[in-house]
Amino acid sequence: MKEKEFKEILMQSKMDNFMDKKIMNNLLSYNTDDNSLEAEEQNSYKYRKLVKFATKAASVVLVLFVIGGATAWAAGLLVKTYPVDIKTVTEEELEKLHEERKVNIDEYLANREIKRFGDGNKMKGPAYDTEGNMLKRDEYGNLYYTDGSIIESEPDQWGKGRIEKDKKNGDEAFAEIGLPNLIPDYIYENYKVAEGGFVYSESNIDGKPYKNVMVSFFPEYTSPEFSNLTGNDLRTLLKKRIWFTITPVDRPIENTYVYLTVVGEDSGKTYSYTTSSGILCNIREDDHIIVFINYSSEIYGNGQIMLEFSQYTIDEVKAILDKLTLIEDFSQN
Amino acid sequence: MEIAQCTDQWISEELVIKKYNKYKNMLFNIAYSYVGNKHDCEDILQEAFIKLCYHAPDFESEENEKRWIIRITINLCKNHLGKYWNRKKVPIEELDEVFYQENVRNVMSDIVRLPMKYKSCILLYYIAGYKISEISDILHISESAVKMRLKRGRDLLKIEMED
Repeated sequence: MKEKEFKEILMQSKMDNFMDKKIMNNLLSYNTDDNSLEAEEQNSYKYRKLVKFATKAASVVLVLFVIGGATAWAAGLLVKTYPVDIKTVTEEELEKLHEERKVNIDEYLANREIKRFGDGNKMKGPAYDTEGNMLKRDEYGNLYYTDGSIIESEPDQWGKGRIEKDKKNGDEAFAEIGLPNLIPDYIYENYKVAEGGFVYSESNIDGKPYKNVMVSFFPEYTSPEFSNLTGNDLRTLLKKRIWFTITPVDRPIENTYVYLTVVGEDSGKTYSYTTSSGILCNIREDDHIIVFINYSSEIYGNGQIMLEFSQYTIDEVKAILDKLTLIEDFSQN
Repeated sequence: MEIAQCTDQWISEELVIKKYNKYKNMLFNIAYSYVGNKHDCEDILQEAFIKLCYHAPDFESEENEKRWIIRITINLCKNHLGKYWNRKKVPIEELDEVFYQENVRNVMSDIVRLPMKYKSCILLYYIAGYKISEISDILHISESAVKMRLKRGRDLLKIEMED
């Protein structure tokens, strides 16, 4: 064969359309979110295919309607936790419910005041050298060649103080709603607060003040918990996100319900789980897992904790829920 | 090594598509030539493009980027073959499903069977379009070694040089 002919044949060799489309789709869906709370609020959740909230406010407003039922005590704890009835509706049905109950979501959103505590952290993923070896990253975010020489890469001024900084911002944000920091140490030690920091928001619904604190976390792949992960396990880890929304409530919290809007076919499961420390969790499991905890405390009042997990298995979620310790003196967390 | 600075995690969809389209066929031919089957080739390309789009360093030039992604792809292929060589032989019969044109199928079949050291030089010369001096740079071997390997590769592929 002539060399020219060989080159021409090689030019004709291309990947087929199926492979082409599959790789491209996987590539575009790979970890493209920017972790910011603003993006989360505006775009809903990228990884959630079937279930989503119409808005954050909708879920919170509707959770306050009491429907009656049993009360569950958290065993051995001084805080009571209660079941939440999780109902699913279409977006049209939710809008109708808002109209019936005269809940003005637009007004709530327009009047909402937001205060941020901390900027959060920029995600720094793994980098590789030309041999495909992962480069070591230290606690300041610096990268190192395999020979040990340093590569400066936007060092984090907080370095080892990052955990204390995140906790301190959390303390201040929680203080706005009259609570101690409810995020477990395990989360601060192995996850970082995402960009946007802790977000305190305040508004009025039917003339009554409504406040909450929101924060999202992404896993820190260099933390001891995750540092052994490689390949697909590491890639999966980098897609994981946890959102916390804590809402104090100044009325009875027993036996409430919450509406979730479902997009497309409803293939999710709803059930409850009691953690090893006796906290009753109400779970909605789809490809996105949402957990509601309604609590009542003589010292801190009533409220709801909502946790949302993206890219987690239910076993991973339960392991994290087991680390929550809602005792009467929350400060022991 | 060409690493200068770790890139940000964020990358626009437009840029991902641009990078993907720029390299997809070249890397497909390289990866397929090494692993010889569609499924492993797909996994390797997926991994290579994820590294390029989300975890690559900042490159000083497009040429550096091209060299980097070729090296990454070849290393992924070699790692794959190193891991599975004893239990995964190259299933040449799969070529029918991947390459519909007979002349392409025959050429790819010959390239897949080439010994590794000739294959790298042939791929970099004919698929990536590098000159002998550049291949010497990329593979860290002398220019005369590149010339020798190209000659032996051509002989095995029965390629006749033109004047």
